[in-house]
Formats: sequence, C-alpha cells, structure tokens
Amino acid sequence: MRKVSAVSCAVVVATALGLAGCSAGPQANSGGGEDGDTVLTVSGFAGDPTAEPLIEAFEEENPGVTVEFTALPFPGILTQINTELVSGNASDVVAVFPGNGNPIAVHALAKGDYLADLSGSDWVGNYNDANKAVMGTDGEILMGANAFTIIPAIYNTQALEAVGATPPTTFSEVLALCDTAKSNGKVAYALAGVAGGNYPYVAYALYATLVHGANPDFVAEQASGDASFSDSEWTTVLSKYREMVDAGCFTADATGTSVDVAQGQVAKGEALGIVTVSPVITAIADAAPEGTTFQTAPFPATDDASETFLPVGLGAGYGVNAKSKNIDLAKKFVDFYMSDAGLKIAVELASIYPSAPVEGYTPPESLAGVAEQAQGDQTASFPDQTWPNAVVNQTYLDGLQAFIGGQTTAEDLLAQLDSAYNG
Amino acid sequence: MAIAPTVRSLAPRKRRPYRGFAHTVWWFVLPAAAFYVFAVVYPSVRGSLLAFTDWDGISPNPNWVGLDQFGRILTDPNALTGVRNTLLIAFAVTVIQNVAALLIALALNSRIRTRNILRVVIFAPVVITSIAVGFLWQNLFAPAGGINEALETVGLGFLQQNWLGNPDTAIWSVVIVVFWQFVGYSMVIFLAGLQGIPHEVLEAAAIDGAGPIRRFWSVVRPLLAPAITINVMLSLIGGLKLFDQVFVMTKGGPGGATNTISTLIYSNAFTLGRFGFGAALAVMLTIFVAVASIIQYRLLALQER
Repeated sequence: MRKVSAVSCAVVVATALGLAGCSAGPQANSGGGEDGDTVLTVSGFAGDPTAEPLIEAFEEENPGVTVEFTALPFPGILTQINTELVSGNASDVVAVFPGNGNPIAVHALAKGDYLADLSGSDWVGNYNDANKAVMGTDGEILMGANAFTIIPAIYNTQALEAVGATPPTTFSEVLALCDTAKSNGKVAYALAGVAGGNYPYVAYALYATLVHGANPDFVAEQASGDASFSDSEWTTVLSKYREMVDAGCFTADATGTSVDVAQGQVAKGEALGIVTVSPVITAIADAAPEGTTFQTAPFPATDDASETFLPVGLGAGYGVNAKSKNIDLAKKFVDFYMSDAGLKIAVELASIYPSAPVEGYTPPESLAGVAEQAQGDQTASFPDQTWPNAVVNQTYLDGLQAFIGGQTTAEDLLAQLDSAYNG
Repeated sequence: MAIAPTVRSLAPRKRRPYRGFAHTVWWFVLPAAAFYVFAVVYPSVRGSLLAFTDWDGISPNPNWVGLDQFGRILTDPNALTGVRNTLLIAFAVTVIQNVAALLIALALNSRIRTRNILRVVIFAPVVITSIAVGFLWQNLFAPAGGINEALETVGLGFLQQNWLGNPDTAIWSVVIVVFWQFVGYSMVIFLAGLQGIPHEVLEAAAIDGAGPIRRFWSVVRPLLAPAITINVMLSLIGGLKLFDQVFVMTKGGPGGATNTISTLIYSNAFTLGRFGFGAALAVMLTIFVAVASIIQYRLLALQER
C-alpha cells in the first residue's frame, strides 16, 4: 500500500483544518540562551503550581541551564503536544498521560516512537509492574509521573454533620445517605454530567470493587478476548449507577450541570459529597466558606465494606521528546522531577499524593481517609488507562451521558463499548 | 489622405503599452498568487488527500485506503447524527434569523425615536467572540441559570428545562444562541438594503392604493433581493460550519446529541486520532457548503431578475 509521510500530514492537517494552532509551538533545541546558557524547553499544564518552583530548583542545581516553560491549558494541550511531536517541533520535555485513551497518552505515542526510553533511570525501581505497564510499553518506560490520582468520595464534613450522617461504608448506606440528604433539602452527591464533569468517576469507583475486585484478571482477559463489557460485572456497575440516579442521589438535571457548579455545591454544603479525582479537593476547598473542612472515604459498591476497592492511578507526568537535541538534559529534568527533591516540591505545593516514598511525608488531612488503602493492595487502576484506543473512552463518555439522561440502556452502552474496544 | 498613415501608425502604439501593462500586472500578482497556492491551495489539497488514508495522527506511515473513510460516514451513527444536526441547525438558523432580521429591520427603518439605540443593542452581540457567547449562554442555560430563574420569576416555572442536558432542547438551545448572536448582522444588511429603496417608489405605490403588505411584497421585497441573497447565503454557510458555540456549550453532548460535522471533524482528528475519517468529514462539509451555496445562489439570482 502507498505510504504517506506523517510529518507532511501533520503539517498539512494543522494548516488545512486550521484547528491545531501549532505554529506558536516551541522548538526542541539545544541552542544557547541570551547569556550563552543551554536552553531546555518544557511544555506542561497551565495552572500547575509546581512547575515554576520545580524549574527554579532545577536551574539552581544545574548552573548554565535555562528552562523555558510553555504552559498549555487542558484540553488544548492534548492536540498541541501531539501535533508538535508528530511535526518534530515539540519541546524537549512534554507533558504526557499514562496508558492509553488520549492523543498524548504514552501507549498512543509509542506507536510513532516519539518518546525516549527512560528505563535506565533510578526512580523506575519505585514502581510495580502494574504501574510500569501504563508508564510505557514493550519494556520501555516512556514517562515519569510523580503523583497518584485517587477517586474517593469527598465529603463536606460540616454538611455531613448537619444532617447527622457519616461517610457510608456499604452501598445500602449510600442509598440511605441519599434519603437523608433529600429529607434535609440537600443532595447526597454532586454530579456534573456535561463534558469534563465528574460523571465518569462514579462508574470508575463502582468498577474498582465490582469488576476489578471481583476479578483482578479482567483487564488481561478482556485484552485476550476472553471477557467483554457486556458479559461482565460492568452490567452491575451500570445497574447500581442507575439505582443511584433513580434514588435521587445526584444533583438534579445533572446532564446540564457543569463541573464548576457541581464542585460549588459541595463547597457550599448544598451537596454532602462528590465522587471525583483527588486533585480537585484543592479547588473545592478554595471555593468553600472559611472553616469548611473535607474528608475522603472509599466509595462502596457492595454491602460488605471489606470488599471495597479504591481506584488509584498514576496521574499525568513528563516524557522526553525522542527528537530532542538535548536529550540527556531533558532526561535529567525528568529525573529531577521524579527525585525526592522534586517530589517534595510537588507535595508541598499541590497537595498531591506522591507516587513514590517521600521522606517525612504525611498526607493532607483531606486524604487521610484513603491514604492507607491507597498504599495497599486493595486498589484498582483506572479502566481507561488500559483501553486499547481513544474511541473506547469517547464512547464511554458519550454513552454514559446518554445513559444518565435515560437516552440509552446499559445493554446498548456496553455493546457500543465492546464494538469500540474491538474496532 | 495624409491622416490615414498617421492613424495607422498610432493604432499599434496604443495596443503595445496595453499588452505590456497586462504582463506587468501578472508580475505583481505572482507573489500573492504564489503565497496563496502555498498557504491555501497546497495544504487544502494535501489535507483532502488524508481523507483517502487511515492516518491516526501518530503512526509515521499511513495507508492509502481509497474511499473507505467516505463509506464509513454512511454507516457511523455519530457521523449521521452530526450530518442531521448540521442540516437542521443550518436550515433553522437561516430561516429564523433572516425572517426575524427582516422584521426587525423593517421596524427599525421607521421613525421610532429609539431606533438608533435599538440598532446598536441588537447588533452588539455580533462583536462578541463566539467563545464568549458560548460561555455566557452555557451559564444562562444551566439548570439553575438565568433562563430558568427568569421563567420562575414571571410565573412560567412550568416551562423550566434542563436546556443543555436534554437532547431534545439542547440542539434548539444552540439555534437560539446562534440566532441571538447573528440576527443583528443580518439586520444591518437588510437595513442597508431598505435605506437604498427610494421613498418616491414607495409613495407612488401608496398613492396607487397599495397597502403595507402589498407595498412590501411588490415593491420592497424585489428591491431587497440582493440583501436577501447575501443574508441567506451567509447564514446558511455559517450554520453549516458551526463549531464554536456547540463546542463551548455542549462539546457535542449530551451523548453526542448536538454534534455537528465541524465538532466531529475536531473530535475525530484531534481527540480520537482518526485523522483520515476527520478529513473525509471535512471534505464532505466542503462539498455540502459549495453545493448548497451554488444552488441557493442560482435560485435567488433567478428571483432577483
């Protein structure tokens, strides 16, 4: 079959479709700075409070090196870094995601060999095989990620106390909490059902116990074709989700509710809690009245508290552009980011849950309810990190929206997911 | 007799500078034409060629797959929903926006005192970026947003809706926003057309006994035909290409119910890594716009005659 140059494709698509805006992207370079310094370019997330202090500390430790940081907002960062990597003009160090599921996830980028192998780094030894599986592929480690993202139920402590409740430990208690909240004019769990909302995470929390907890080999069996969405405990995940929707556990009109509104409901105590990713706690706390405190707990899916698994996954991190002309320095930056010094900066400034041991670290009060379990074995990776392509994730996001809104059934959604998975 | 040779000798001298001028003009045009070919024609052609590949945005060597991607459009339920939504939005926006803009223009072409203020107020949304408009209306359409609050306040609480969360209302919410943003644009074009109609013609029609409706239909409408043509054309093309407002307000949701061809091009190419499929959708949209514009222009041009 005739082959077409990917580089020219990338350039042409970016221009012709007029959507990528890659022309302002940084150049991977080893050029000198104004004072003859070696310049290292880094593309990361806009709003990351750790980026600047990390860079300052790295520059201090490496005299003669200047780091130029390009802050990219989400979700534009997905298309921009992807286009720049394919076009060959990406930064030396780029933000990437573990596993699969989006255009800058390492498994997707591995297909084009766009990331350098970091498996020789000392910090790799801190991670188990499950983590390494989503940090790279074919024995290569393609990224460093310094934080775990946890999906707990986050509760407004004062709101819980006001209705005389405590965090539920069984699914029956969850439904009871929904009734208690309603009778007090509140909602048990805030839910944002628009794109970018927390609605996928409720299913992830249920998946951890019902699918992974019941069969830890499910992901491997699905990959080998011996298991499917339709013929698995995913049916129970969706039936319990439906049960919660029908019981009025969530924000009314959730499918039209934005993530800001949902988080605001928890911050103000209009909702008792929210099931979402742990880094969001900081934003919720910032929006809350002074004196409001938050606590976390694993979200139960059965009536046996000991069966509850906690979804824990590696968060986004940094990879090294394989075409960087400054590859050794770029690797040194990622090593510093993953070092004890880098991790300390992150835990101090971003309230993250570090992915490797940090001397003297104690989890923030808000994460105390899940910290111990997050370090143990009763955890499950996020399912989307092992899905084979981004279409499964998009089908899940679109289909789950329709499921919550009552426009599609669990059977149809799971059949669509199987089709996307096998497509 | 002495004049004839002079005339003959002058004639070629007049033509020669003209040919030279024509040649000179082409040299002036060449840099711009070369830049146009480099910046527009070449990328567009090469981008269109992607529709015949299976490129995923990452793999270095995409395969040539012929017309497969176009065939997938006909079987992909999301693509079919996107095509249906695009046509619905384009048709609804074209009709509603132009009828309303014409009525507003007729009203504001009268001597009412506040006409200048009203013109500014109605035109104002045109100068706001579509992204800002999208965020503004996303908040207004929120379940606890301004629209539902206003309905409650005036005693119409029973009309409250989950505007953007219900597939049945979400698509029409988008239409309302596009109408709100661009009705002023169409109004201004209609106003310019109305102000070009001589008062004498209207007065003559009135003296001949024509009432307001007859005057509009037999005098104003034919003379306004060029403005109608340009307005219908612009609103139809704008409706077919709609992206910003949908992307900001709903991201194509809920459940893909408000996806348009443009949002599908973006999500397929840049989120799902299906550049070939995205390019096929882009080629199809280009053909849609071209065909619709040609047919419409021909029909309206016939009317203008």
